[in-house]
Amino acid sequence: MTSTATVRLHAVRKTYRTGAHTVTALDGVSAEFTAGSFTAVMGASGSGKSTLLQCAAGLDTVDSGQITVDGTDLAGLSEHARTLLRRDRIGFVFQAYNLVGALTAAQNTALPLRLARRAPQGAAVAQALAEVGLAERAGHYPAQLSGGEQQRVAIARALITRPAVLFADEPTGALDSTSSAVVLAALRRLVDGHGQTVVMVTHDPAAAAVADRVLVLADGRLVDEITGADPARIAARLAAGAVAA
Amino acid sequence: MIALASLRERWRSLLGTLLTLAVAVAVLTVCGLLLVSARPVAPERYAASPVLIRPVPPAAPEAFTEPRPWPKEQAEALAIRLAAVPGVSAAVPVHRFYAQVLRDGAPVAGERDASNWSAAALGGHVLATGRAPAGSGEVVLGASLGMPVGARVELLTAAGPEQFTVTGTVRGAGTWVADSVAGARAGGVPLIGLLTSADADADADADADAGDGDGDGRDAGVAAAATAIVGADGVVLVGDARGAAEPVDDARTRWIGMQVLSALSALGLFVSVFIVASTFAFATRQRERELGLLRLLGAVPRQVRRWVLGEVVLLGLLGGAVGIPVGLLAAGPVARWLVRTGFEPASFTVLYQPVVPVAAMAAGVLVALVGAWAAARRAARVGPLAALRAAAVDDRPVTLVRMLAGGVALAAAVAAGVAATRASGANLGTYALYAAMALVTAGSLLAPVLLPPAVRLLTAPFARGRGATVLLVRQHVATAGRRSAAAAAPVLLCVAFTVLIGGMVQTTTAYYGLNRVTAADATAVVVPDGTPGLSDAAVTAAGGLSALPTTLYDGVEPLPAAGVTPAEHVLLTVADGSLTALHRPPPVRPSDAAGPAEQAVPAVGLPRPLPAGPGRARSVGPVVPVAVTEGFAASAGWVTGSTHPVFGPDGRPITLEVVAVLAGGPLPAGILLDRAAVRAMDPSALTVVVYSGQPVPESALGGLGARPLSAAAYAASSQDEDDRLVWVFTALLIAVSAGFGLLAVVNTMLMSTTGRAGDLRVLKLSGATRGQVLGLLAAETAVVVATGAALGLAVAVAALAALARGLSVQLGVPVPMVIPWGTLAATVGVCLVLAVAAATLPALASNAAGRGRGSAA
Repeated sequence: MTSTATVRLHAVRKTYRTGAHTVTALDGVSAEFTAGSFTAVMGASGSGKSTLLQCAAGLDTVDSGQITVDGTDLAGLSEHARTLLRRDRIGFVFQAYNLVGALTAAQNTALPLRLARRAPQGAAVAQALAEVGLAERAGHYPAQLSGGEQQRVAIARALITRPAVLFADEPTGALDSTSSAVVLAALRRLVDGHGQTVVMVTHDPAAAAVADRVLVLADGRLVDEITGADPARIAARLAAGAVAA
Repeated sequence: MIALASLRERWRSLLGTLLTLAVAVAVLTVCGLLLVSARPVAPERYAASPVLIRPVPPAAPEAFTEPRPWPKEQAEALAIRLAAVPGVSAAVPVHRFYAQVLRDGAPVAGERDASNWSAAALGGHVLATGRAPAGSGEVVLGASLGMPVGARVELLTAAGPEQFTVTGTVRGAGTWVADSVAGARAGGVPLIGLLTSADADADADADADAGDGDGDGRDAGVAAAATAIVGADGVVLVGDARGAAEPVDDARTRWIGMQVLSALSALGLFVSVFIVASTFAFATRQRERELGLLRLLGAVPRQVRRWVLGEVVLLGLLGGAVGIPVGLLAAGPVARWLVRTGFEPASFTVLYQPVVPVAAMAAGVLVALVGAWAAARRAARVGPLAALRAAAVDDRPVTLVRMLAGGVALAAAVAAGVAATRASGANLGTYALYAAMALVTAGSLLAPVLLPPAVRLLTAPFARGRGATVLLVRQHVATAGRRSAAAAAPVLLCVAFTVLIGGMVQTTTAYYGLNRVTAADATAVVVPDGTPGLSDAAVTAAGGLSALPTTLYDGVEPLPAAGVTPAEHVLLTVADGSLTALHRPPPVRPSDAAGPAEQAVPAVGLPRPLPAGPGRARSVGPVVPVAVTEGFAASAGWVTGSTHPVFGPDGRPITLEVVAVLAGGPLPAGILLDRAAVRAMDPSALTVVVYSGQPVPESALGGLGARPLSAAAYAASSQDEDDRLVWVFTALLIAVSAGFGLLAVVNTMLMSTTGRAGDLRVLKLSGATRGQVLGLLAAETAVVVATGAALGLAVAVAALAALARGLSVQLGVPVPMVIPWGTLAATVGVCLVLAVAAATLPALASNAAGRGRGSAA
């Protein structure tokens, strides 16, 4: 493996069987996500963008093709090994904020460390929360936080293990535009300030515009790649792609 | 930390489980303390005797008959040799006979036997006032009776009331007569007590130091020497082992008490495991997303499992912390209640052994762990993708393991059911209970498979309606099989146990009632009143049909027998042989006759001497003609004309000659012999009941410790003390199982509704009114309760059928199965009300406060 990419997909195929039908979610996708890059993955519903993310994160297995994360080939890993890889090298942020309701923001943030049996350092937790602008909300429970705040706690939690890559699946999907902007800004800061690799699935051109690069999926195939575009241009390219497809 | 935090968050939904565990630990603490405390205690009257020797008891302790006593001569000979052991100051054979003090014509409760005055020393009794009894009409009484020296006292003996004069009193309780009087009145000797030198000096408080270090060594030496002397003729009891000499009635009462406590413990354990299992299965299903999230964040399955189990251990410890104090406080009152009810002898006291609460706590934690084990395994299998699913999709198909476990439980139920058909007495009920436990387990495991078709069947009549409710209910229950099954399981448990236990008692009593009315075609019956049985005087006064029960011994094993007179022949149907030979004059005892036993045979006027041919049992002692029931003849291999060497109730050898085999109907015992012959061998035998063709006036029974009952009243009443105990036992078991069951019903319903908040929100958003949502919940709950109840009824009926079959086989009479419809209706009604309330109340509450929540879900 000579590639410098943090995450690398090569000719990945993934099909689902539902009853008599076979749905091809990923149809030979190859892509690379280099260290310190911020990539948005877009596409219509059912285009396979969420599947791409789940496969790349080792949450789901692929039918064929190769995926490497931080130099590790996922194909040969057991579920246990994949769990450890996820724990140590991969961070997640989802549309539903996915915080444990019984734990405070700080405890939620420290959770991956505890699961890894590493002593959670108060300073590290405080710093992670500070990076997303929630230093003073550490003692609050999720129910006491707004949606945007919860999502930022989720980002802090994703970062606490200093993962090689952060996967975000529609992180702003459930937020109003103001909260979205704050969350996206937080992600952007991570990339610029810490060289964090971020892969974000979204259907929102405004969100995608924050990324360095936009990959567009349709019917399980990579159909377009846009770099350095603003939301309007992205929306236009998407619309054009949809017409072309 | 996670487990603790999660408990804090979800304490409301786990309250039911916590309560269940607390109650279970409390029940276990009480039952454990009482079980540990329920040890045989050496009777007060032998307290001063450090070494007791008694005859070899029967192999099965549950026979609850006195061991075959030594004949007087043998006991005397043994006593003489035992008295010669160094350190032994006296060896006293006990001669005991039935003699109950009558005060103003009413029998006094408590001490029911009189003994030889020499035996008073075994209890450390010395005269407080007066002198020892010497003549035939003299008696020494315990001072507790308050009879002064010189007073006339009436003693009710097996013959009838007799007048005695009080010559002395001792501290405590007891009745003693002159040795010669007791020797003549008593049958065999049931016990020889040794007094050791030191004990002879120290008097009343000798028992206090009987267990001291110094005395122990000496007692052990004496016991060893005594063992060498008695050999195979007896058992030497020393120290705590002397408890084996407790009265058989006490042993029996204690045994029943043990059964009650064991059954309660078993039921408590089973139900707790059941409730914990269903609660945690439920909780796991509801928390799938959260568990998935943890997996996503890097928790390995082992960590998830440990997390769930850690939570459960905390719950168990918490339940113990609540349950143990409650149990400790409750043990005393419960013990007193058990004594009052008759489950434990009066000597019963609670020993507060610290090991019991510790064990109960451990059991509580273990119960919680066992209950949550399957749920923890399932939780560990939750994949990280579960966190990403929009809504928790219920219903994976039922796993093979679950089906297999259900099948195993079903097989166990069948095995227990088969065992029930072969068991007898209290074991019968125990097996039926086991069968029900196994069936309940099987039912719950298989419920996801059974429930959807059952619901479809049940709601089919309403399926054509236009309303959305029926459609929604049908769909919900049918598609969410597992969730509905979890909700229906406690109802199943509740209904199955209450109906089974209620039906068990009604089925058995229905049989006994039936049996009693037909027994003698009687218009009136005379039963004991404050006495263990009826004296001959009472039997004569009652003037009806009766039998005099006694015990013969085949080796050391008891053979129940009964004495009858020619009058009772109307109740007997002869299958083979003839009853005419049954009432030959009573055999003359060898001690009464001058010569050896063989010479006594012609003396009783036997029509023909027994030829001692080959293959014929050697005739020993006098020959006693008997009639045996077909059942007994078949099981023992006895036939008309065969002879069998056995021992009489006085321990002397006799030979039974079968003159007739009797067919049909229930008879008082397997072996019937002449009543006078029983009386000659067993001077303390008492009649159980007299059936009379005409009403018996109460005045005729005055001062005889007996009372008349109409036949109807008798049939309706519990036949005896045992029946009453069984009733109390039953009520107790029903209360405990129903209590636990209802707790579980409420618990699951609360959880179920809480877990469906999202569903209900969607319903409301799609235009359902508040009333419709509540109606839907109520209807769904009703359907679940109804199906649970139907399955529970099926379980109970299956177990009851096994029980009825067992009774039929045992008694040779078809026994109808009785289903307690009243109990069923009450149980289902209470389940329904509680379940609907538990399902709709949280929904009502969440209407008010429903907005803010759900964001963390």
